[in-house]
Amino acid sequence: MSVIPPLEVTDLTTTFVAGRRRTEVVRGVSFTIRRGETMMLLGESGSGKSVTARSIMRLYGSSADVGGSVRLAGRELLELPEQQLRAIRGGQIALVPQDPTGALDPLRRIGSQLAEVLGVHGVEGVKTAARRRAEELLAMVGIPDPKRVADSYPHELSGGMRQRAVIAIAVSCDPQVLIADEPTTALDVTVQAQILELLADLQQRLGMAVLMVTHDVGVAADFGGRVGVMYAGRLVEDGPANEVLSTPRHPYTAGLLDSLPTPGVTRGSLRSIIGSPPPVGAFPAGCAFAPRCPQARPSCGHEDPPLVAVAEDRVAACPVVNAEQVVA
Amino acid sequence: MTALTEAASLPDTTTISKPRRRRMTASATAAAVVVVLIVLTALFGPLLVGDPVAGDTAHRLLPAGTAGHVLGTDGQGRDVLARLVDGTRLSLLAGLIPVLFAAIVGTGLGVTAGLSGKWGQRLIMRTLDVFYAFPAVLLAIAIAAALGSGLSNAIIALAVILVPPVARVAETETRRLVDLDYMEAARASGASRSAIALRQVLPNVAPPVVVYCTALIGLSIVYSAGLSFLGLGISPPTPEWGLMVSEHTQYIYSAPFLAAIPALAILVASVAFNVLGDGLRDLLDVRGEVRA
Amino acid sequence: MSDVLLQAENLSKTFGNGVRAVSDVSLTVHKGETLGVVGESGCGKSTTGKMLLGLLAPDSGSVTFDGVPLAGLGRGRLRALRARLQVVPQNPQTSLNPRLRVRQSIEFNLRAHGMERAARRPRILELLERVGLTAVQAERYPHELSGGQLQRVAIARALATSPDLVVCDEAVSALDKSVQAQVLNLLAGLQAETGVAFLFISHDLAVVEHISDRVAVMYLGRVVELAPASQLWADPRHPYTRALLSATPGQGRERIVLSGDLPNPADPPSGCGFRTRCPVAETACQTEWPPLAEAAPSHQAACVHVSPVAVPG
Repeated sequence: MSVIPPLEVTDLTTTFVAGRRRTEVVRGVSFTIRRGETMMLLGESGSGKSVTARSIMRLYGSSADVGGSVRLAGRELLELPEQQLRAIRGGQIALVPQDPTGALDPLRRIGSQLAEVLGVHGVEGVKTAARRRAEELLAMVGIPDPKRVADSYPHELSGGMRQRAVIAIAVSCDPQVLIADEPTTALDVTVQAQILELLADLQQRLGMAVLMVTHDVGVAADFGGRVGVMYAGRLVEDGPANEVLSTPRHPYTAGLLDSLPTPGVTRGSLRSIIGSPPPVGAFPAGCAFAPRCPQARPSCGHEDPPLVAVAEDRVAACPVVNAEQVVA
Repeated sequence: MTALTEAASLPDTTTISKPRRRRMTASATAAAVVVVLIVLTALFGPLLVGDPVAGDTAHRLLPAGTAGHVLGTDGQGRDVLARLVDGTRLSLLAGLIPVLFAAIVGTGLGVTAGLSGKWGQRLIMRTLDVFYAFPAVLLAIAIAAALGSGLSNAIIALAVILVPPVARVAETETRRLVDLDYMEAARASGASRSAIALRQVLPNVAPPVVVYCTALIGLSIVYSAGLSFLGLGISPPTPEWGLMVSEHTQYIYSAPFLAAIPALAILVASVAFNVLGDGLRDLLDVRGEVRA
Repeated sequence: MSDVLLQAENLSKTFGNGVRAVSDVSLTVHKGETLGVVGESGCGKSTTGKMLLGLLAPDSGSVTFDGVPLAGLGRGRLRALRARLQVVPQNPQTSLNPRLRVRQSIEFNLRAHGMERAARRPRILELLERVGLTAVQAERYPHELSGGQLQRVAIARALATSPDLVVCDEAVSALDKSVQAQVLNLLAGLQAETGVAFLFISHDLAVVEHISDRVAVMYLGRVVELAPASQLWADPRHPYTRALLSATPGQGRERIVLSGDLPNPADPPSGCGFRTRCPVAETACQTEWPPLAEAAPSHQAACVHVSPVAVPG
């Protein structure tokens, strides 16, 4: 039997358009997230991880050409008129951005912002009921004093509390898919731990599919689920987080893991990757990682490797590493 | 030390922010052409036209287009074109010198104020603020009148009133820098305050000041012409645009367009410098508005 | 490693807005070592760094560099001393003057200490080579370089006058991990080569643990734990350090999730500043902030629960 997955992304491409200049940022990304599952998009600056997440919600409007297919519970989002899309955004698919300050209206109380979202999406139209529901939601995201916070303005709250309020708004309409774009990057590490815990807990309780974008390997490892490693606008490896991050099958993933300062590694001998991630708009031809890859062959400079199955439920886009594995 | 050599072996193409393509707009380019023409006229024009002072009372107030007098003659029978071209020199000088002076003194004061502690900064900027209490033109007239008429006194008067706005631009820019990481590194370097001001701050302050001052030249030309018009600048019969306007207005009924000729020259020069200043802002990649 | 290079004693700093940024901080940096300072935003680590650099005067307490107290120095002598006490700032995008070429940024520091023009050029190239850059980059402007390259230049500039101590204030925090590793390797290599000491300020405990010999953990303007890096990682004693370690992602530790946020530094709680979030707080914690006590040999923590270990006689 086949169950329709909450989110199915096929061959997503995003090209930014500014006048006559076109910049390819996402170059053919495919993945599926099942109900209650988490997908982490892991990558460094310029990898296209955030753009992928935002393209799914079509947040770039006319400034970007988005191609491929994005199916939300079987419904194609890329062909939907803007008006219908607006009803879906914040309803069936919600976003938790990196910076909670920008996501909240600085001039309105948290409670009224929450109630408004409930009203817009027809979850709760009656004012008093919406207010009660808002407080319930704030309590659900672990805010100890929901009544007071509902009556507060964003600037009166700490960064962690603001992010909780944003999460409350995001989950208020019981979304099928929650997109969290570096939700803890702006926060201190002890607060980050709280927020990650909260997201995991909410996912379990609400059965959402979560797409989380992060640059932090540790966050990806801790949060679990699937991880998709992105480099230069492509997925280079995809599989269960615990497997990908312990036995990587792409040289970039391996290099990224070796770059992390971990206890036991002698000082000064981190096995870093040479060079820097390529900037958007200047992705090398062939395998984009080839110029930095210790295992690159001459053919890597012009052949663009596809993602191939390398183990059960795992794919990687490196013929060099995986040919060796097959032989071994 | 493998990591060191490794990193060097690969061309690293990532850039933090792409350098903005810097181009002047069409209007700024046109303004630059006009400015160059004005400067060339000031330098070489007098060689090409006749004597601007010699008058022929027999041929007073000839209309423009008369043979031998393209722009006609004025009330004393002097060739208007010759006077206009020759007057470019003093008009331009009277516009440029005060700005040059204000640029140097204003930048010095502004940077010093920006780098000083709270009290030094207050002392300098509040003192300069006194100048803002009076309209600039009135102040220039008052100073010029107090010093007595004459070109050099007009220039001094203008220089004095232009210092405060330039200082304000320089001080604002300096204060934007002081808390940046590289300024902290400069303080930690052990360099003297003057070295920091000269080699770290000035390269950042200079572009906005240049932009501002270019636009200020236009204003300065208008002001200096104004002082001459009021008889506080150059004394007759030396040609100067402001003075010419003043002389020609006597004949506003008999030769209505005569006064318009030098006035138009003032307008064109002033607008050209203003537009050029805006163009330089884009060219030098100066952020934000520079207005005093 | 008994040679003390820099000694800070009882530093305190309160800002005009009432924020008590640093309270009673004492630190020692030995010659050639790396002292890590770790803490979350608002813990006072950067303010401490500025005071150690002599860029910010403490309200009370003293900083002594190689036996010379900074406070008593005249401006001229302090400037001369700065050749030996340098800084690598945090943000690659603002650590270099955007209007100066790379060469000019480094040259500025050389000139400040009176190096002849003829000697500067070869010295600049030597420094650039040492940090993995070439003569080509010497003529570039900052906007033409990557974040990693910019921090390399900032490091070359700091090393220009052969300092004894370089304060790295979040110097690698803004870099991608693969680039961060290169810069960490570079710093370690330079230390081995030149014997320079580092004061390494960061919010990232894994990075600090990796690069440092000893680590000071700060919370709300105070040092709450001070220990050799490996020991701090293996056996943290202060409950805040434990929570911080467990919150560092990807370590596979059992997570201690602290409740609540950092208290307002302008209005800190009475007694121990951590007690409002501490899982093991008790009544005694409300009265005073416990002093740093020996928890193990060369391992100090400021917590009433840390009982001094009996030194075996």
